[in-house]
Amino acid sequence: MKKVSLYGMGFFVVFMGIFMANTFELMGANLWEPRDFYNARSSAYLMNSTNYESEFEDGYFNRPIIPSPTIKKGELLSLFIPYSKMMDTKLGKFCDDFSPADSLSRYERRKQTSSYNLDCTNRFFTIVLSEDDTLESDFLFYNHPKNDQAGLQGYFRLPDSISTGKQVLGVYRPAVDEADAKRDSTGRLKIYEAEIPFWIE
Amino acid sequence: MSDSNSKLHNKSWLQKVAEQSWEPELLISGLAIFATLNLPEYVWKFHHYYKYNLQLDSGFIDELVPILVVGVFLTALQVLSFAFIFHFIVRAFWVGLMGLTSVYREGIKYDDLPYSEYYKTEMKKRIGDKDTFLLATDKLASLIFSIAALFVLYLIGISVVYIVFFILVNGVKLMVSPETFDVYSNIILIVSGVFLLGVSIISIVLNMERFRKNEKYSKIHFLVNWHFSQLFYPFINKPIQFLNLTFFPTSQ
Repeated sequence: MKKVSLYGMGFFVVFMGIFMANTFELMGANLWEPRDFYNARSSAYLMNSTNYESEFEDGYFNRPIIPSPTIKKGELLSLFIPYSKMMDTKLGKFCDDFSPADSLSRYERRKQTSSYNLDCTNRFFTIVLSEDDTLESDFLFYNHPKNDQAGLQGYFRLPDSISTGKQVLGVYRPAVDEADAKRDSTGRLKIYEAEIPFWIE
Repeated sequence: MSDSNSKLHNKSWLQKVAEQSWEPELLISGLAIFATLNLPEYVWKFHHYYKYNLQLDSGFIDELVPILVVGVFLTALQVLSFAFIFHFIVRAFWVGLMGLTSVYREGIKYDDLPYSEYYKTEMKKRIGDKDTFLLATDKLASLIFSIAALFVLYLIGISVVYIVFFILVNGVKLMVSPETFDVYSNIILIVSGVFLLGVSIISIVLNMERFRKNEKYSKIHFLVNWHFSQLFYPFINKPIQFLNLTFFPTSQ
């Protein structure tokens, strides 16, 4: 009986160990980093491959992406923000209700609603270059050709005065509910926010 | 066919099936290894699909419960693939041993070995003859197979409960206001917690030595456990109970 109980306990411990490892992996947390001077949890100092389209293999984009870690000086910088279902909840709390006049045609109503939604989305996101320059956004709805994922696509002209070398593109948004405020208070990036390092050749 | 003949026929048929069980075992094990090694990719895809298309909010219900469900599935698949690979190796070893015995019919000839008497006696005691060794390997393979099956059944049950809980909560979320949903989700969480804790406590207490001999309490204990299991594992309660009671450590 003791032997069976011991096997059972051993099996349970192994199971829980694997379960916890899987759960943390799903949460995107690596709690067992054995390297003392290496930290993969600090967004501003981490080059996350999921932020670059050139590194993308398959599946869904989870965070804002730019084409590659390097761009040529004078080129427009492309930014794609995936639009997951949860963004409806966040935008719903940020944008005012809008309903176009009933007298308008269906086409015109749809056009006005889309225009309002895009305008609100552009106000929702703030795009900042290396903590200094706020870039004016002009996102459009876009189905990404790599995986047909719905999202927002914008192109940004970088200032002429920008120097070559490392820059950081910040994608920020306001806190719209309790969960956001709680996360904001800890100094962590909220959902859809990102700080993407890239290099200008 | 008379009753005794029928019983004899059933017994010999069952014995024949039991003796040849290694064939379907190897086949099932091979298929199960293939499936359990390939399925995690689809579980991950489902998780990404959920996050992108279905997740409405962050928090315990929308974020953590699905992560726990997916985590349970991934863990189950990993443990199962280990179990099936181990089973496959043991069973394949057993088939090899069977082949070996057709060449060396007498197995180990301990008496003819060029070792001391003590050495030969100890080896015989610890390793045994060919029949004992074959039987032990056969039993180990079958045991791994049935433990893996029990594990699958348990996890199917747990996942179904998780999914029912998730649908029960998120289905309502789409129909009511956020304020009403907050109250509703709190009620569901508290009721579920109290129910699970209550049933566990009742089951543990009523199985204590002093209550076991009381007919009234033992009846309550049985009914609570049985109906709770039916609720937790609908359709698969009987096979789970059968395997569970078979493996249950007895006092003898």
